[in-house]
Amino acid sequence: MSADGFVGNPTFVVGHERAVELDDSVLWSRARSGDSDAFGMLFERHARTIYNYCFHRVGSWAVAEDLVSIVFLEAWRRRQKLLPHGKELPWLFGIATNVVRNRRRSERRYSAALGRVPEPIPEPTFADDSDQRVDDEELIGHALGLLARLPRREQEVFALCAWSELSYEDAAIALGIPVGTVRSRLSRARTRLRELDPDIGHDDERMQTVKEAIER
Amino acid sequence: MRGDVSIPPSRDLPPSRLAQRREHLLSEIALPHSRRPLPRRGLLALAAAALIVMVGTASAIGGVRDFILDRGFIGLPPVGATPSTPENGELVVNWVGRLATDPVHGQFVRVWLYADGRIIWSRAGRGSGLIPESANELTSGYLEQRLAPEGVEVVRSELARLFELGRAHLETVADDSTPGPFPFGSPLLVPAGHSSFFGSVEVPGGDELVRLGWYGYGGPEGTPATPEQLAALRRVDVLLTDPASVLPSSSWAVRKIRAYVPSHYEVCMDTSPPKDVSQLLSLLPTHAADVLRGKSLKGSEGDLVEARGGNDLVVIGRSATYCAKLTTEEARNVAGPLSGLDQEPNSHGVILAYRLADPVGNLSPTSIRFEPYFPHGQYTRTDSG
Repeated sequence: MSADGFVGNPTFVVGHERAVELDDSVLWSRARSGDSDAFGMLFERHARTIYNYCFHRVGSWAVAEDLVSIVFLEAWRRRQKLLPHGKELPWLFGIATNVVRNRRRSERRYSAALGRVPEPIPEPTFADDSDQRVDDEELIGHALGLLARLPRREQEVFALCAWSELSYEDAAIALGIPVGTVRSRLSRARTRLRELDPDIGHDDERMQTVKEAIER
Repeated sequence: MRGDVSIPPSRDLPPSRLAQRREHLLSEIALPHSRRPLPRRGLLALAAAALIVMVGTASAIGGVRDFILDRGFIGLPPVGATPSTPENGELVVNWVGRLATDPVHGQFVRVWLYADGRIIWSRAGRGSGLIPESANELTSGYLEQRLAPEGVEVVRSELARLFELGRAHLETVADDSTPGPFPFGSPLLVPAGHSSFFGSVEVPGGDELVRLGWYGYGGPEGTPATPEQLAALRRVDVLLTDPASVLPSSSWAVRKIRAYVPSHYEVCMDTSPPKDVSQLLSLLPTHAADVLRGKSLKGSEGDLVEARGGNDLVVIGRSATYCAKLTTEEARNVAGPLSGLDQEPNSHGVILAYRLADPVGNLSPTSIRFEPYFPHGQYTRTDSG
């Protein structure tokens, strides 16, 4: 990385400006000084990840979309936060975890802002996958029903590490807990899930056994 | 499939939607809070409300006795507006939650039903402007309809069934204006397809309220609702949040929507860090301060908390609130002299509140707000930010 934060060669163009792939820390540093364009680039880069994480926590694509907006509005509100280098995404996961956990308060806090979100533009390709999205919600609903039997703290570690594939270290940053606690909570979560369904963990039977567990 | 439990594959936001959300985010963060514009239709609604004030005043002069507002309003009612009657009422149920079934997916709804049939409600959030009677695009304001005794009985019987099915999850809460703890101690967990994402329903039980709460997955710990509980909850949801869709005309006394016009307001000053009440009053224009000085101001102090990092709520300071119950006219005498101040940005367009002093650091600003009283003798803190 050069002194001004550029990494490698230019990789994309936005509007009239030649843009380069800046790492998250540089974008965050600029956002901290009030650069909304830099913050917008962070949004473009990580919105999908946070969108899917929120969906995996609440089970609704529509709600997840609103939560993404809230997560980034909340991140902007806390933009004075100094973050360890390269840990912007885990921090966003942390905000998302809080937003999901305190959804009522979060949504009410930003209800006026959400009220200003424009109505969706009809999008043919999006409409095409609406059936799949309905199926997604059914499947994640089953998974969340199983996960709901765990203590909340274990649910959060499990969703971050197992579903969003965060490292133990990043999950620790997201949750503000020691790495060892992440390990122990994840271990307990897996043990409990196996107790709920002893077949969980055997890859070739996993899908079927989860469905059976839910349908019982 | 990841980890030990099957989950769907990751998906993208549609490109146009991603761009819309990005633009929305940037527009929200670009404008200073105090300069955020109300949506255009909101301005039109306010203009219409102003027109109502003028018409109402003219009607009063012309000798018209009842001045019924046919749309919601923010803050104090226009001069001459007829208050809801009777002034007091016996609460049957209080419902609060976020709907999953409305056309724009996710309005916050509050409903109070009284034994005299009055059903007072508000909707806030995206799509509020789709309700013709709404105050603006951000909120409907508090609106009122009236059920016939038969309609009240239908609700009572469905509530009884729901509470019987959910008896293991009931809890009691104080019957006062304190915002209820949320998330609950032991809510029912409802799947994404349920008619509301989360909520609670409260019925009087002696000196307290008995509450049943529910929440979508990802929230607090709880117990997945059984199909019978879900069905009962869905019936209560729709009865209270969209009664016109399920109740026959015989269940209605007044189906037409009008504004709920209270007889009293709670006027509250919030400050963080806590200040002495005399310091707070010194921030008000003289006439407004004089009105409040003559009232019994009840003070309360507590921790100011914020959700931070991955931790639970973190105490970031102390806050104090001083409140007094005023008649609408008295409240008007306080609000009038404040009109030159900036409205509290976080509440603008949702409740009537003025900023008295900017926040210190990351604490809350010092402000004054006007909350309507409801027929059961309580007011509620209107959430806005």
